Amino acid sequence: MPDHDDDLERLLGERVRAATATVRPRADAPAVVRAEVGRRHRRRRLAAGAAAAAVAVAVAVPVTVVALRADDRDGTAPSDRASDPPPVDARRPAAFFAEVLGGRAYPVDVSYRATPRQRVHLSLRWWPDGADAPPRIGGVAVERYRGDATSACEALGGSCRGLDDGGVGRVDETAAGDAVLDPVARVAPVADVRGADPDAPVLAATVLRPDGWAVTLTVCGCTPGGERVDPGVTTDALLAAAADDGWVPRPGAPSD
Amino acid sequence: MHHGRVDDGDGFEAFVAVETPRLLRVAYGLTGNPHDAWDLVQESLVRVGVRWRRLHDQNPGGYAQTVLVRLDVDRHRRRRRETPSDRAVVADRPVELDAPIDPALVAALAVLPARQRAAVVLRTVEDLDHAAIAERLGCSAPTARTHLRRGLARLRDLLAAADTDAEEEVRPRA
Repeated sequence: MPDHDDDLERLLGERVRAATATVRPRADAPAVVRAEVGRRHRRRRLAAGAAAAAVAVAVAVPVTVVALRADDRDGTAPSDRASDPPPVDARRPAAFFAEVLGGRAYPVDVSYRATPRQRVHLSLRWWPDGADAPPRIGGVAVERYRGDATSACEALGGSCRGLDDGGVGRVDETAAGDAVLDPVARVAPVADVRGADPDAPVLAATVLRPDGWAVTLTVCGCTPGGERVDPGVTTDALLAAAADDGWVPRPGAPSD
Repeated sequence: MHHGRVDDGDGFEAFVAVETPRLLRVAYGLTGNPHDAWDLVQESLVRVGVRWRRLHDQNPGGYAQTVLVRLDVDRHRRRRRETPSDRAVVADRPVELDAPIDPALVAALAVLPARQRAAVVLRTVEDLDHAAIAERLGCSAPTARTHLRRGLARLRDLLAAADTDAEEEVRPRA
């Protein structure tokens, strides 16, 4: 083999090009792509509609909500819903976030609106108010999720990853202003990202843990000023952060 | 909320028709198998599709390539901590092969670190310069040059060793 880089590149290039030239898309490949794009658009539209509906229900008909909860306790509602307590907040020191994600992304605050019939989380960017603000991160919700983790994850669509500890994880990516899925296949429009680069990615990693808890971590790949961070946080790093076994419910939060 | 619309008149279908074969060749070089290659291609095209309104007058082909390469880098990182799910559904992929890919080449490419492999494939298949490779990888041009140089050198050594092994296998024993 020649030592000169150009000759080396030419010889190896011919071999790589010849090998890769043997693959081609079938005639139906564009239709497969088009169908998937359409599916994701529909999912986003449904997500946006469901989020608005959930907020309206939570605000407008609290009496109905109480009644449905009573039904759940009586076992007349599907068991998954009956066993769903409200999600609880979790906190980790900001240093953990910086260490795991390497300063490549910033947390997105997550607030929940829950009804017995559906659970929706609305994501808003969250920033510390200043240097004096208590060290905490937003964007993390720990939920009790009583179901088979793999089937639950697959029900969300997309790809789910089996983790070494028996849990299952997935990462959704979207742009600021669009929507991501929450751990129970509901919706999370990432709203009010004022000033953010519209192409800044927003990622939500969800880990359905083998102990029945689910952790969702949502981040914006942008600076506190809204500028895109490039290179951004990797999905692997984000999933690792969500899979960290140190996530526990905030002290005082309902544990069951 | 903003949604990019994808229909017959906005150019996305033409974009898919033109870019799919190119992306597929790159992805095949990166993964060494048509199924994984298609998964990367589809995800890259879909991400372009849902942002088509914002991307169509920029460089959607470059964006798709960047997404594809970074998905592949992430794919290899994940492998270190994943176990396969036995519930995974292996769907038919809309790809065809004229011939199996060169097994020695697949094995050699698979040994390379993901960024070196990406640099080699982008250079040899797409003839990208260092700056374009750097953009796809999210690094500086000098770093991309280093990835390419090291990747090519390693690939040369691996293929030479594979050729030697193959020759010894076919040589009659004394």
